[in-house]
Amino acid sequence: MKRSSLLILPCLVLCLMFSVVPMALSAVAGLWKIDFQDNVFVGVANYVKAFRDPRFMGSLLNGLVYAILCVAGNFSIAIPLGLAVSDLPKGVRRKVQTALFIPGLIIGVVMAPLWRMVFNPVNGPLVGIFNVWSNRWSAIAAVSLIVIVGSVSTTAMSVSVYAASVGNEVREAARMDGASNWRVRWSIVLPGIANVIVILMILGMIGATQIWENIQTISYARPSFTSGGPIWEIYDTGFTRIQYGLACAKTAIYLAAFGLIMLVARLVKR
Amino acid sequence: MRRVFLIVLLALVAFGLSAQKLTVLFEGNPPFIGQKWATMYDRPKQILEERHPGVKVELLDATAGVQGGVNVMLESLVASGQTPNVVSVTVMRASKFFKPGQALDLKQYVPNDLKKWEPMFLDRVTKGGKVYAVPGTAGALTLAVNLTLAEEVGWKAPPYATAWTLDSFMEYAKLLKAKGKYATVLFSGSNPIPYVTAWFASFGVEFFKNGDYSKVTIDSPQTRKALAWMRMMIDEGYVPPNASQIIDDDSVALSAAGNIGANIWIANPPAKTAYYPFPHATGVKTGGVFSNYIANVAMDKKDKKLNQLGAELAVLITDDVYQKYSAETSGAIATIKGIVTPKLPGNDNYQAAEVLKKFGLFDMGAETAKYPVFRPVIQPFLSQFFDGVIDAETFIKKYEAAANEALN
Repeated sequence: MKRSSLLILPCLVLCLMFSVVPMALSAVAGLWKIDFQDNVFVGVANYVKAFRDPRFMGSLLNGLVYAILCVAGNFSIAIPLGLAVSDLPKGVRRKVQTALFIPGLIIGVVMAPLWRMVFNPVNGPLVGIFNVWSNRWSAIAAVSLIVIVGSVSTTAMSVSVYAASVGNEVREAARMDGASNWRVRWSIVLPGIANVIVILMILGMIGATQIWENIQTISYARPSFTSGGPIWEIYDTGFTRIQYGLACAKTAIYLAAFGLIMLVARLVKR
Repeated sequence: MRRVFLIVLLALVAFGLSAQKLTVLFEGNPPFIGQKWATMYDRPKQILEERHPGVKVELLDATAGVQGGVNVMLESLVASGQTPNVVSVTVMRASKFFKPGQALDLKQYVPNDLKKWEPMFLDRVTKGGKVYAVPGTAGALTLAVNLTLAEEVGWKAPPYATAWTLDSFMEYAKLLKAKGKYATVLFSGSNPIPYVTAWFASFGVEFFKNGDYSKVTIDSPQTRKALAWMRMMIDEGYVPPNASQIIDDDSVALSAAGNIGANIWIANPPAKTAYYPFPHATGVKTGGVFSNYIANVAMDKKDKKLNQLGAELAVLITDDVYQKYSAETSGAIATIKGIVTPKLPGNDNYQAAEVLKKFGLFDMGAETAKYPVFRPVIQPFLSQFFDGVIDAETFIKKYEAAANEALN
């Protein structure tokens, strides 16, 4: 083993201790009916129950929909905005970037009362037009909108920082060849930061499947628990319905599903 | 000098070894303002340590930010053989230990102390003739009527804490509707137990018969009547629309805005409010109220002396001194005889206390360990019923099956 490989050892140990081992323990705990006093080994019963639970299976699909909606919505606004900001003169750009970062500091729960008011099913401003909580998909769209509004400016700021790193000389050269500002952004700057954008999108997708706070404080997975994401569903199973074993089985299934999607994505990429 | 030091050290070690240590696990430790004890649990600790030199009481706060944190800590301690001597948590959590071999039968240890408690509350912690806990002060959820609104619509409310009929409530509801207001709020966007389901009490529905918490028993004519009434309230606009999407906070906000005639939460703090049991249907004796409280359980440590100390400590935590203080400072409802909740500025709890003592508790299994499992089951079925997707019969069939599956 090269000495340099040892450098990753601390990270590897931490990853094993705090990610891999808990995941494995969770999968094992899923084989038990747990109440901490009289734990009963139930074999794969929790796994069978989880697969037969329409709420949980629905939440896996919801997680996918959240990931697509949130990432698509977020980046379709953040990329053009970030690219435009990156073109601003340095002094102005920094101020705008700081301003873009500020909304990201506001915690979701602080905004929750405002969103509840907007989407209030009795006297909210939208209720006359459409009641978002009356339908699973509109509820998911509403939560995604809340996530997008909360994250778009931070993403735009990140995009602008990376875009600004693309040298001015390249942009100037393109402009001298007659390219418009937007042509320069789309054809020169964006491809230059494409790899970073892809990583941001992957992280965004992972984050979106794990939406919990907005569901817990605003949507309550309405209507009738149909719009919850997988992490919220697991939390609800474990800590609201106090079914720890079942929650562990659901966690293992969620991780396996997630791993499978990553594997398929990798194979497709090849 | 060195010899003296060694002797003192040995004496301290010997004292430490001989000292008996008791642990109390609790959730939250409110301050004891203006008293010689800093907090609620400092007091019993100090008294017990003074009464029994050599005894040390360790306080363990299980309060955690995450829901379920107390459960996890409590259960982990028990599982690892570090069961606290006294568990002082909500009765729902405590009831898990109400069985021989786990909790002590307090009648065997502190029989005279138990005589101070109201039998109504002591009954709730008695299983198979064994008293497994002493209750602390209780909270009550009763029906708050917005008297300002009642006056506005021309309805004369009965005196507080009196029984009233559903017919009388519907008279009020009609007047409210005529003025564009709502009688109450039915919701299932968030958990409707016990807030909405307390209305079942008005019709005499029994969620659990004869204290058997192993199965839900709502397949009854009373439930059908209750559901028919709810359907009517929704269809005829006596309650806000979109009941299945309204959450508890919306219900509070609607009440606070002065739009609701009667609700389980305080109708509108600046408005005049009076508290009642839930109005009752013909032939039903009592309306329903719901209460929750801290129960102090002395755990069986298989050591007679330790058990005696544990039982003594359990009683001390919420004894008459604490309950009187709690009633007089925060309007809490005492579970010990003779302690009256006084009328406090801006606090109408004395009315709720009277309702509770006059009309008792509506049993929705809230004091059982299975409550967290049983509680969320109703929500999707009630939502479907409110939305008109399923009828009353389907609701009863589906809900009872799902609840019983969850309970077992």
